[in-house]
Amino acid sequence: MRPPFDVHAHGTDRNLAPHAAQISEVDPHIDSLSTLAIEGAANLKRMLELGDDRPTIRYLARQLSDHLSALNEVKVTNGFARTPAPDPTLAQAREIVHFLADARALAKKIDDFHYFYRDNPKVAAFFAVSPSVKRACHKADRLASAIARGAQRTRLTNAGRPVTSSAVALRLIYGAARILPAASRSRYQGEFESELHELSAVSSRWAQVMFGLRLLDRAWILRAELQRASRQKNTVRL
Amino acid sequence: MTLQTQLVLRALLEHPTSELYGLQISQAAGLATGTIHPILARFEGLGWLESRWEQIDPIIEGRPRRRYYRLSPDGAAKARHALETARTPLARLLPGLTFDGGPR
Repeated sequence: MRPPFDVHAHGTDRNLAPHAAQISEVDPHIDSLSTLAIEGAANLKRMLELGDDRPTIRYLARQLSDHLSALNEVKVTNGFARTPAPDPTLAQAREIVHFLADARALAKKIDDFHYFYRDNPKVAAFFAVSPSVKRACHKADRLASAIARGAQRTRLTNAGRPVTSSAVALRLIYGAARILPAASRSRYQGEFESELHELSAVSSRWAQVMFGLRLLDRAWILRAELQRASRQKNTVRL
Repeated sequence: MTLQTQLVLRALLEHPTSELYGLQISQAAGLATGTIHPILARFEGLGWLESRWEQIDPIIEGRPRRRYYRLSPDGAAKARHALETARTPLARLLPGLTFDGGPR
């Protein structure tokens, strides 16, 4: 008979993509983990209610009941996080991390329970699932950190880093524009500024400075090309 | 015709009807940013290229206007001819490339 808290039964032993950047990649695993934890908690709670009536057991049963409610919310939160937007907000991700922490606490309690009551025949049947519980703890940890990382990246992306161009690069492109013929100066300065702005959003300051240096290096060639084009135009007019 | 010039022409010919701005052309040509303006200026001077400012409000968009380039109708034909008759064709410099940019 399959134990009621078998991690493998719910398919959570797949690779959990510990470096998952997007929360969508770990969504199925959150579902699996919460399902397994809810089922496991429900089974144990039933078992405790039917069996021992000592205060410790009652306390544990109450704790499990609380965790069960919290874990049910994991599914609700997870569904909420997935449905309205492709990238959940950091707050939503934090909430999921919070509930996963509950899942970890629950798994730890179940594990402790298995250990301390391993001589109880009612519990012995479930003791074999202890390694699965440990794996669940480990996976919950990895999920929590993957979600936190994903949420952090999402926050950075969504917030849209304030685009600030390197002051050195700006000076370099203004210098490059100054080398050009007066008639073309403002046009190219605008063009260079626009390109630097685009680069600033995705490149380091060093890359921006290199961009400025390359523009400055080729400004004399550009000047020659512009002067030649201007001469050709004047010749045609004559 | 230099290799850089041929790469820029090839990049422009890959999108003959599209408007591209400087960084996109650099990327398509596989050249470092900030190196293609003299080439673009030469072709613009020859009438092969047309350019225009992007029609946006920089304040609303939160970024400066881009300068878009596009091959002129006869510029595309001239560019193709120039690439075909280049003394050191791109295909010889970069084996495995066909004229239209696809793998041979």
